[in-house]
Amino acid sequence: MRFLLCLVIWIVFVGGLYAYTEQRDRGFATENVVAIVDEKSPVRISIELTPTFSVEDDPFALQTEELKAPFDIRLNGMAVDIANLPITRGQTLFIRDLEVALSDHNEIFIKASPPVAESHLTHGIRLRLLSKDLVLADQTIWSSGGGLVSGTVPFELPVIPEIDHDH
Amino acid sequence: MKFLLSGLILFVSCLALAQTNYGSEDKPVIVASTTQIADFARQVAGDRAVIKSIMAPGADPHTYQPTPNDVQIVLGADLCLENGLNLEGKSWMATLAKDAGKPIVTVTDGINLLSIDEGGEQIADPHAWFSPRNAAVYVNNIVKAIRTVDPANKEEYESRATLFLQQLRVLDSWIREQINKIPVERRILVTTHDAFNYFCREFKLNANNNFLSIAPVGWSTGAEVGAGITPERRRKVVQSIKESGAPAIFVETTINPKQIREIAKETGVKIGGELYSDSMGAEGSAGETYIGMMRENMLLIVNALK
Repeated sequence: MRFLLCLVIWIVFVGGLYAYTEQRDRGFATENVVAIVDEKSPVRISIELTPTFSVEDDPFALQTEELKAPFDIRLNGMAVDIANLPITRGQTLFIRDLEVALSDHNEIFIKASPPVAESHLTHGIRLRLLSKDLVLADQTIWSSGGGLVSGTVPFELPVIPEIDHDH
Repeated sequence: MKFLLSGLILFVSCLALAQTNYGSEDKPVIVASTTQIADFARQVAGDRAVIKSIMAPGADPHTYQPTPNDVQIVLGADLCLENGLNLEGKSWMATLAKDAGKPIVTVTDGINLLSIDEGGEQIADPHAWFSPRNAAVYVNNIVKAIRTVDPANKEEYESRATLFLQQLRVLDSWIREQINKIPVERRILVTTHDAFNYFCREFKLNANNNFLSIAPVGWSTGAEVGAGITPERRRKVVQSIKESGAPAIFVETTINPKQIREIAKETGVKIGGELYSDSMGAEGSAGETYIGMMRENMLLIVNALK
């Protein structure tokens, strides 16, 4: 009889403790962890590009009917329009508050042609991707020997736990 | 016996015909006058089109005489491509296309042409492909032309062209790097005929001749104005070699090397090698493509002059 009573008390105690912690963690998960975006939901991001060269007409470009910007930027395959923005050596180009649909795994593609007369130099573009104050990617794409500065930078949208000061 | 032989010939002919047509159904047929243009077209079209060249590797376009077989080739074309600017002596490609009623595109349209002053007469130099920048214009003109023949595969042609244009860009940069290995005072390029004006102007060779070709034979090996060899031209070349101290001079794959060998003997300089000029190399050779041809030429020039 004592043994059974002891077992019931133990089950009630442990069960109660389990129920409490389960309830507490469920509350924590829904209230204190904020995903930056839901999958494919639109999000505002900023792009910062700092080239080591000024862009000029490329004699080796494909001349198509559509006028192409000297910089080709594609976010998850979608072109980012920067046709009228000046691209100058050493000056950071800001593309702010771009609303795009992102998922967990994303990529940004950049292609630009440094001046042919500077083909003896190594050229690069520093790329920074930001969402609010969070740096999603920070990478420099390099090219030498007359090639295009071209590359793909993958980035992920992290899930950031917010610090709850009440706990 | 005769019956058997005739039967065998007929059978082999049928086989050859079947082989020729296999896999080429519905593909546009593009006929280029020269090997360079055919290579550019091949880089753009890939396996989407059948590319044919009228000229065989090593043939001279200035003096080329079209054959009945060429007429047949052009009759089967959907599109003809020519260099123009009298490279095809007496405009033989334009004549072939016109007679066959086929569309023809001049792929040098839009190039900043070099003019050569020949006895007061200005002649546009047709050897524009020797600058990779100009080669990019050839490629762009070819893309536009092929798109009109086969618009359904437009994006594919543009993708291939983009890749090839990037290769031309790298080639251009590589040539500049190679030229840099030659001391400035030894950057003297003497060849059999005036084919290298664009090359010399682009990469700064022959400073003592306004960055133009130095050659005993004029811009054409045919009978056009300003073409061929003259005693005056030969004397100037010998004088130029002696004054500049050029360490080597070059023969060309498409032209009899006799003149250059005589000049080399007279001036005491060595023959630097055989450059691809008006035609590319035979199939299987390093010069069978444009990039291979330019690469091999450059390596010969650097090795002989540095």
